Amino acid sequence: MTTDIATSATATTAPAAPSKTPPKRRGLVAEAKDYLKASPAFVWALALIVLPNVMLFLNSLWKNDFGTVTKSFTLENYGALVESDVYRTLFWRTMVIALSASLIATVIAYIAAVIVVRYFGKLKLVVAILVLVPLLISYLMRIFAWKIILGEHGILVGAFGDAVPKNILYSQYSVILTLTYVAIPYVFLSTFVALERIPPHITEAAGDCGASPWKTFWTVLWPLSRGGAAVGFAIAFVLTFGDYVTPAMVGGLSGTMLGSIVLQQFGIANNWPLGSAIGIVVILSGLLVLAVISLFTHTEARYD
Amino acid sequence: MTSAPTLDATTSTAADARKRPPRRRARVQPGLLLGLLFLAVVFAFLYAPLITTALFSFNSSNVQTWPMAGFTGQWYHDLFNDQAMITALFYSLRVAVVAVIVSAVAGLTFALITDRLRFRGKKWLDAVLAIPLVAPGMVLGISLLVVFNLGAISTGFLTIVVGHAAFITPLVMFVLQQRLKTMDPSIEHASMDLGAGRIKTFWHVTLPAVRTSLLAACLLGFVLSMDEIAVSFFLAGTQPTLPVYVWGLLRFGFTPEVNAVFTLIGAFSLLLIGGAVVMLLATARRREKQLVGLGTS
Repeated sequence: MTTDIATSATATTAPAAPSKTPPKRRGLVAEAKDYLKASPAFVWALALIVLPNVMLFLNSLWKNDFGTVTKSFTLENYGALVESDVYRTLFWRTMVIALSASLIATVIAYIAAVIVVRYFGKLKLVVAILVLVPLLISYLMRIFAWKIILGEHGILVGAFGDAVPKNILYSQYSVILTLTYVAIPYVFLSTFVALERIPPHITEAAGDCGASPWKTFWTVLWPLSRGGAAVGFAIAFVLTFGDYVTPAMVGGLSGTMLGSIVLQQFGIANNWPLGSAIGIVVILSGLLVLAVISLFTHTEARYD
Repeated sequence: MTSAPTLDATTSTAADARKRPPRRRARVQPGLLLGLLFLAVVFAFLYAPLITTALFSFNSSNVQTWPMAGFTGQWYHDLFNDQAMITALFYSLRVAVVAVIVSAVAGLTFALITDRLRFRGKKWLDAVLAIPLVAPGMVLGISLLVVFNLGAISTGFLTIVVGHAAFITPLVMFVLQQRLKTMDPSIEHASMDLGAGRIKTFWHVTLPAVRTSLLAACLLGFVLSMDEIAVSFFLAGTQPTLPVYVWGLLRFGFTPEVNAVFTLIGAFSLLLIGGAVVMLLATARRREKQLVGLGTS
């Protein structure tokens, strides 16, 4: 980042006429040399990220006959996804679950981040780290604990008696709740970083000019930090949309998501091409949301 | 502010004036109070599962219901005698250590590459390398599985290590990129001017400068690797890592030992991460002081 800024700065401060000199001075040989030195990173990216995803896509186009895969191209895996009512229902359910969990998590994490940045002064970093700590505790364990909490004879029912419904577990609500729980620290991290970067004197200036705290928030803080909130939302969506651990633990039958089906197709059902096709659908859905989010954040004014 | 009392004195009694400061404090407090209350609820939500697991690891009934039956240390005792669980634990440790070593070397190399070299497409390279860190583990798992399958590589130790290194490496890389940004390049130049070669400079100057960040990133990577389930599930062969083994237990035949082992690992992770955070904060502060010192001299 800094090197980019540095080079662009030198480019702009240089006289207008020899604006082409920097690339010229660095000849093709030097550039090729740097590419050669950087080749380990490119090889890694190609071997571990690009190639697997391309292969996954190819795999989703191959034909499957009762567990044996023939490498002839066909669209029938995607056809099966589009035509089947089951997969369509699952897709929309996964979408609704992921969107609501990410949205709730974003609202909660954003408010929490505002409070931490606003009121905790020097301690804010410590409080922020405390929010992130659950991320480092076993994912499996945190999900499983919700089963104990939400269960029919769980802690929630034990503590509040009949005030809580006894059939929360194994429903879409328990999945949304657990995924919200999973997503909060990620969104918090993203919004906290965005809010923390806003210099305090900007809000002080708004206050000095007579804006109420509410108005200061909506006209100063929110426009400067909603980009971070949007990024947090996107991360939350991508993570929750492709999850299979949570639906398997607390979802039951009515909380099944696309991820559970991928697991099934790569496992018991042994239909890798179909599983790959669903995997591609998961990737595309994530990319779609990322694209919408980046459109949303790009149209904003930047303050720095 | 100083003029307020005189204004008050002309319009109201002294008693009214004395009431004002408390009223103003009362106007600020609801926001703060509500905020703290909200944060408390969020923290309760975030920590409830952790506390639940720790509590139930001492619960003497093996049915996971509230109220708890009584206190016992039996599950910890059972845990230390459960050979399959211990095998899985040591397997996980081996995977984590090897994956972290691979990622440390690769992450440091890539951080130096993106920081020191000048070539176009750096942003793209960064973005592509970061994909395994942000994409759902399931996608990384199945895409690697497909490649391994085509290459006729049977799943096992090697494949899990590759899967873990794929997402720990970008983590190490990003932490080190942040550190390298704040490093003064003239120190390295000085070392080379004084006759040290590239390797010597790297060993005596660059590596010590990034040591703390590297160690912190490795600890974080280690903890993430020990926990990893989404990727490992697809890439584990016959010998499961601890999370994969526990996943099997959770679905078919739960024992409260699971709570015990998670409580132990959780406590251990917290210690490691606490150490990493303290180290990072301490060096950040020291660097700040150094910078301040440079500024004044």
